Amino acid sequence: MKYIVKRVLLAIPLIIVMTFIAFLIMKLAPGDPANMYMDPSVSAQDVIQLKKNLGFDKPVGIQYVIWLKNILKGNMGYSYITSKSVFASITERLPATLLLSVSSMLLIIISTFPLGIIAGAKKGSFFDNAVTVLSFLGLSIPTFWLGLMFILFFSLKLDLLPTAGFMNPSLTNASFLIKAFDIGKHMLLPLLTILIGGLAVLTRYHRSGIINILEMDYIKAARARGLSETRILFKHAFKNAALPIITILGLSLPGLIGGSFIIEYIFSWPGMGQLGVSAIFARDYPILMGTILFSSALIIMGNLLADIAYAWIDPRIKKS
Amino acid sequence: MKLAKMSWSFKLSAGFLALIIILAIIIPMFSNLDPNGFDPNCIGEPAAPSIRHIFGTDDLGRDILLRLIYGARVSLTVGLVSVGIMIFVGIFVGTIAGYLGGWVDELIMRFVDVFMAIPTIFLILTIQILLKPSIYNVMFVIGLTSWTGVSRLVRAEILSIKERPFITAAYARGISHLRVLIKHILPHALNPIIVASMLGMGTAILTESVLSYLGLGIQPPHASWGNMLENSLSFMIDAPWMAIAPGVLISLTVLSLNFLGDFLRSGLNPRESK
Amino acid sequence: MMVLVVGCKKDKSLNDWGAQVPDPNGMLNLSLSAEPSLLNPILSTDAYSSEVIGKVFNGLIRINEDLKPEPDLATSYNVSEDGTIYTFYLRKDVKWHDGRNFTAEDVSFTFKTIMNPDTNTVRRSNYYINKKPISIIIVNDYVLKIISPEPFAPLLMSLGIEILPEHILNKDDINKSKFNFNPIGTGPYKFVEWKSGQYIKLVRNENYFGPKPKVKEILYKIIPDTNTNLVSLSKQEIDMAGIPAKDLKRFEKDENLEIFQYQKLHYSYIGINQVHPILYDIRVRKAISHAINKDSLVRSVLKGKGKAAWLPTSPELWSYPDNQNNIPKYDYSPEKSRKLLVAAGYEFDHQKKLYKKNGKELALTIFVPKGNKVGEKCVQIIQQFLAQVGIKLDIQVKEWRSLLKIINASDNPKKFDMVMLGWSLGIDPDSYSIWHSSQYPNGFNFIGYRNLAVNKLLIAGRQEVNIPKRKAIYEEIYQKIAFDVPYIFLFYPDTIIGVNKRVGGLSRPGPAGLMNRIEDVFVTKPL
Repeated sequence: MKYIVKRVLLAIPLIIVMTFIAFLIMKLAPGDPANMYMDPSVSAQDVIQLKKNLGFDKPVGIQYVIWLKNILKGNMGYSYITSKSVFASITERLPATLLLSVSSMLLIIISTFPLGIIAGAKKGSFFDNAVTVLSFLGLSIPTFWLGLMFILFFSLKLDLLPTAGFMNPSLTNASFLIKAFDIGKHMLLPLLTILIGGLAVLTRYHRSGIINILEMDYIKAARARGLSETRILFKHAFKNAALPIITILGLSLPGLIGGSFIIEYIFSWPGMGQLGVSAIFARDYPILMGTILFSSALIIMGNLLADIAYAWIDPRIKKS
Repeated sequence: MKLAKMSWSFKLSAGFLALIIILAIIIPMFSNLDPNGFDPNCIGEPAAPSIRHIFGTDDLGRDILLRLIYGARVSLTVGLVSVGIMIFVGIFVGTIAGYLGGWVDELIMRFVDVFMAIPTIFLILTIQILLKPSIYNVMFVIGLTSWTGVSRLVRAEILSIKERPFITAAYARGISHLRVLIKHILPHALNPIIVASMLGMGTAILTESVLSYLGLGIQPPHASWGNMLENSLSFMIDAPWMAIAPGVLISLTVLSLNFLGDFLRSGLNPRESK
Repeated sequence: MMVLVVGCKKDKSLNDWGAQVPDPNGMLNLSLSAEPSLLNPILSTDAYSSEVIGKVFNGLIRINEDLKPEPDLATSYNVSEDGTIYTFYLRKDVKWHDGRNFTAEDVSFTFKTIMNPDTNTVRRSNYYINKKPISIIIVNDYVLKIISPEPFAPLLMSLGIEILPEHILNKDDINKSKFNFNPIGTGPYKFVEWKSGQYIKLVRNENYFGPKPKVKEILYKIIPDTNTNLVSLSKQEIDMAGIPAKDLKRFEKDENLEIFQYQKLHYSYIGINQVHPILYDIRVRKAISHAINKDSLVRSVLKGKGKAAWLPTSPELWSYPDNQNNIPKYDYSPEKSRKLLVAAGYEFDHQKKLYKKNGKELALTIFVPKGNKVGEKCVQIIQQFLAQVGIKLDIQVKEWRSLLKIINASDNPKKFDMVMLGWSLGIDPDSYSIWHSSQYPNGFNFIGYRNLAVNKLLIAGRQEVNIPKRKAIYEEIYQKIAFDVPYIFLFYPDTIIGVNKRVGGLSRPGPAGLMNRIEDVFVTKPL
């Protein structure tokens, strides 16, 4: 318990430092939202007035302090572009990203387990080699290329799935089941794209885990006692599987939450990654800072939960 | 016996990489064909693969194979240099944390945690926008955002070794800390570092292609696999050969690197049996 | 057989689409390639917001298919002889989407809000003539007078900005108001909902003061990726999309689509820094112009869908000169190019195949914004053209806002050589902010163009309200500008739009768009 509290307490000032660095970098990046007009009917005066209204005329340090003070009061500020509350802008995008991240994580866990176990149990077989090659291949293919090819194949050529988006807009008032099914249909291609890239690592872990286990003495003893191969496999495999899964999940959280931008862009998936990246291009600092804060907090929370689960599963691991 | 078992995939991967590297170095040395040149008055449609152009031509009439070879130089360089930066920073940070231990270690690792918590894409984009788009900045940015894994590996190795008897003995013999570090401790970390390098190179090449997709990678008219791929996306239906060649090349190269890295990880690590 | 065929001949007005009839409850599916910022006409400037705003709001006047202003919320208007008094007679039958009546109070409120410095708008200066504000006089509920301190022709277009409801916004901080995401207007369509990142939905305004809109709902899907957008069009998930020239052949074969091609009010150009040690010399600029084959560019980049440009204005505008014989055109001629470079003191280095002066290579850099595929391709071709003549051109693709920062910086001289951009033109030909020397370094004359005669003409053009006289002034302006080669005008790209055949009631293809009268557009359904 003390350990957890210590970790959390240490993380907070560090997040603040990171946000300051991010703020600084953003300010250094050329261009600001007030200067983004290439419309000849816009006069220099209007731009100066706009800058003043948005508070840009104050020095960078002061702008950051103002932002920080507001955060501590619970006010995440307003977008420079839409003047909409940052908190509202992010929370309306959060569900879509979480849905995709959680679904893809679950799918990866569920599919890699049998793949890895069987590959390891049948080490050296055709199946094993095929799984190895395919999962590594998935890791090596550029995501945006894969995504576009899927759209062209499944959506255009085969006309099986919708091209892009989250849900069919005419279903706003439909029943939950129908909506869920429709969202599921829209989610298939993005999930498939993420899945292909995400199989490799966990599959390898399960595989080498099984190989290790199968060579150990107590397994040989169990075999000698006449226990079925399958029982041996699954009982020990499960136990062994838990740890790496949690670690890998923790490590892939940042990628899933922010790095889903490419997927969100190609498939028009209304998530946080899209929001964050367009905020960078638009120099919309409040939104960007809010997104970084949110993502980082989510990830740190995720890692913390992973650590707790770790320690709970294997009481031997109470790190110092 | 491990070598024999993995030999086919190892041989293929190593062979493929060697081929790419050799072509990338040799061809530009001996050929004076310009991969970026074309006649601006005679630009037609992208041409499908033919005898004259084995992989076809792109939308400006340039030969794709030639551009792939020059692009290999670029993409491989990006991979190598980014990994170099990644290793350098990773070893530096990991060593300080692992060796000094205590509160320094705690502080640094918390910093690493938070650094890892920020989605890489945001960091990369932000920095890229700040800088002038050039090949150097691409390498710099990728290296600077991927060192955390290496630092953890190095730190872990150092932690596990530094208390060992032979190390304390070395100190007792009066060998300076720095020498002990370099001669006795770090070599043990070499294995995971090499593995991380292979995998890191693959990731760097993929990241370069993502940056190109966003328009922040290598600038036209220079060819990189990433920007060739990006350019080909809108021609996917009409001129698929434009997209297939760079896409396949990137995939196979990264695949080979991943295979090699994985093989080295299991081959060199006595604790993990294969 | 013959009788049957004759008997099957359909009435063209209804059934151009086989056995289909207009669907009174139909939905029109459109797409936007980015999320709109705000649905408020005075705060937003992006095209995506304008697209939606145009369906929900009205202005005093609107632009019709012929690019001419016609009354919208007004029944008529007139301008006094001296050009300073604009009188608008407003319609009495207009209701806001919440049922309240529209009056002159709303118009006055809208303009006053724009002119209020606390409003985060960049349109304020449109309503200040030589730093003096316009005055608004409400004669009665349906008559309004706008007094301009001086005659200023472009003001009319600014007075056409969409009108906001006073009764809703007068108690609110307009910058932060929820109205911006839930607008109430007077237009043919009412706002229904906006799901961030997904879509915006509009529904027919049954009490619209104009002809009742024929489509029940309009849906704007947000699709950022171009390829995804085109696939959606092929799959009939959206009814309309822009088609890049290189994909035209494929879409022409699509039986479900009708293809339209027209010019938008836009020209692409290369901006040349006039305050530059190499480029200040007009001979060098002319040499660059002679080195580029514009027809070749149109052929290869636009696939022939476009026209070479020689003037800073569009052929679609009334101000485009009828007679262009006086317009100097420094056309494709590599020999003329080389002669000019020699005249400017450059020597050809046969080894490097480049021109040099005092040992320094003639090397320039051109910036092009990222994401503009046409632009990126153009600069690579132009690079080859210049190389053929002996000029070295480096390309730098710059992220949009970084590029804007360089161009809009207050430095003198600015830090660029050449830049590949385009201007979208307004209906009014006034281009003071682009060409007047006072608009440098702060303003849109980012190249630093300075021609005192043109300065005078630009001001005269703004003050002249008589159309034929104005046209003559602009003809002179264009001639002088073309002569000075401050830009290399490249081309007017055609816009190619694919529309699903189930959509009807489109306007004549032209810069005012295919759905200029959205209330006339209908979608059909099979019988």
